[in-house]
Amino acid sequence: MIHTTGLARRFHSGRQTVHAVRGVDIDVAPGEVVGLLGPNGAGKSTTLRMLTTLLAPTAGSATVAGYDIRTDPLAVRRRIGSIGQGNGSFDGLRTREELQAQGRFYGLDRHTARRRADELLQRLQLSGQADRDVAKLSGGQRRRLDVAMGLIHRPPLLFLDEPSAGLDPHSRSNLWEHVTGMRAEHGTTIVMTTHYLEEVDAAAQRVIIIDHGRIIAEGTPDQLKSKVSGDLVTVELADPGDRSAAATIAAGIPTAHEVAPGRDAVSFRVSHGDTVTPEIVRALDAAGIRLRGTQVQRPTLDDVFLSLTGRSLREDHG
Amino acid sequence: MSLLTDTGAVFVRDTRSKLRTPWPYMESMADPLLLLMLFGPLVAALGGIPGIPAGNTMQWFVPGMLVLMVFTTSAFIGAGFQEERGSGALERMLVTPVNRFALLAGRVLRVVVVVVIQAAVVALATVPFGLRLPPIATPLALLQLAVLAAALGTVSLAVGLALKSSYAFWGVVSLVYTPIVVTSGALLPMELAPGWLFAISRVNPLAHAVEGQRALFAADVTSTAALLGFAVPLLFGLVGAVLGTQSMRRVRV
Repeated sequence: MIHTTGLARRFHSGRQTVHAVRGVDIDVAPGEVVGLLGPNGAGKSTTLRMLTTLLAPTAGSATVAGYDIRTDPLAVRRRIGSIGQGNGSFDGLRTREELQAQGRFYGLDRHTARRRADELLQRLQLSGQADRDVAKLSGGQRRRLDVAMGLIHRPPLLFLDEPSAGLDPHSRSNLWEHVTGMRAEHGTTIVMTTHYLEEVDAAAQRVIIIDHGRIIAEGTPDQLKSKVSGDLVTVELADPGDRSAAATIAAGIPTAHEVAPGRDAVSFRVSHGDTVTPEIVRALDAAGIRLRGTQVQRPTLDDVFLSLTGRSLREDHG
Repeated sequence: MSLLTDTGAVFVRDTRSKLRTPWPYMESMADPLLLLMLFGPLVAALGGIPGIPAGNTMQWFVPGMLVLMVFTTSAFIGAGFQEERGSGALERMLVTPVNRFALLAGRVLRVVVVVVIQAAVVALATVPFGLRLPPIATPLALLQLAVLAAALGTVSLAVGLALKSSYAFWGVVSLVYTPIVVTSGALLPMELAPGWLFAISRVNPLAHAVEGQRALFAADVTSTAALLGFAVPLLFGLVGAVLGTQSMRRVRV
């Protein structure tokens, strides 16, 4: 569905040249759901803009939905749906009108545009808002209208750029329900970027991690997490004075590493954290060290990014 | 084929969104009528100025007012682009296969329709005050105003696309507004102007439109002024269309 080789884009601002994307090779198979992950400014959105023909690449090539983005952008546009970061609807128009207009922009005749608009409004629970000015919609409703606009021509490939940014958790899960529902029904290929790691984790079959305009890792969420060696086990100490003793005991456990004594806790990474926890609790108990509690954390995609770059994804966008 | 249907789709969407708040159009019709009432008597009282035919001041003054009205209705439509660009509305259109020129043409078409209606209303409203409407020349005058509106609208959209902030757009507008209005000759005839000022008026498309309108309202259909009133805005608009379509293809949202 997507094939790129050495796709790159640089910008000139004043005398500086910014290499936003430095040659990425991406392959996406039909029906796949792929998440692009990376901090702000990593080049995710620039990559999407090139793939959706909004921005010409400065190097490399890409075919999207079977057509070259450079030589046949029109054919690409006909076959993709794209939901950008902003709100595509514009104040002053009514919900149904905006959706119908979008259908007309895709070359649908008046009748078909109207029929599909009504279908989508119903599916996305916007029927009650069909005749309201889009300015009066809530954030979640407006975002669902954006999704509807991206789907009006039934594209086989859908791009979502930060689809749930700025939405409350309820609207977010509602939005994803709709997107995954569409996918289940039509087998739509989806490429998305998001800041919410849980969303990528839940929705994406494959994750491409981008940093400084390059792909630094890719794989299924589980494959990526297995690169982080082991679970994070934390034992919270009743007496902070015990921390060096506790750290020594933790270090003695097979496969334990990255032992880090904190102020009143000791954490370490270890494979199979679940089975190790009772073990360390017994060992600490035997040494007369009292505990307040224990925690086991499976690696997150943020841990993956941290282990790859030494930086947290969350640092960049609080 | 797709250019026409695309232009139609953009036109319908744009018209629907703008006509729900029609007040700006009412206001821009009030402007020429107020000038006519307040400034017209002053011009008439001056009497016998070179450039103004003696007798019927209305016949000389109204064409200029119509051109100014077309200017206020059509020349600032490019200001909307920054907002649409910032919100994501333009991006959502650019990801569709819609024809790039149609994105301009549909908006311009809306302004053209509005302008023709406004001009007809204002012209009819001034008939009781002494404006004569010559039979063949009047529809031609309306057509000329439509061409002018299309040209100004296209150039305005091209400028609106080229400038990234609405501050920059309104900055450009406030810089060019006074020179354009004064050298158009709509308020006082450019025949009064010193040579250098008259020279400036020659590169102002509005000045040619004003002279064209005056020629047509004087039923002087075959004059050079009437012809230039069509040709200059047309040329101006074509340049705008080429530049505008190019920047629509290249615009970064």
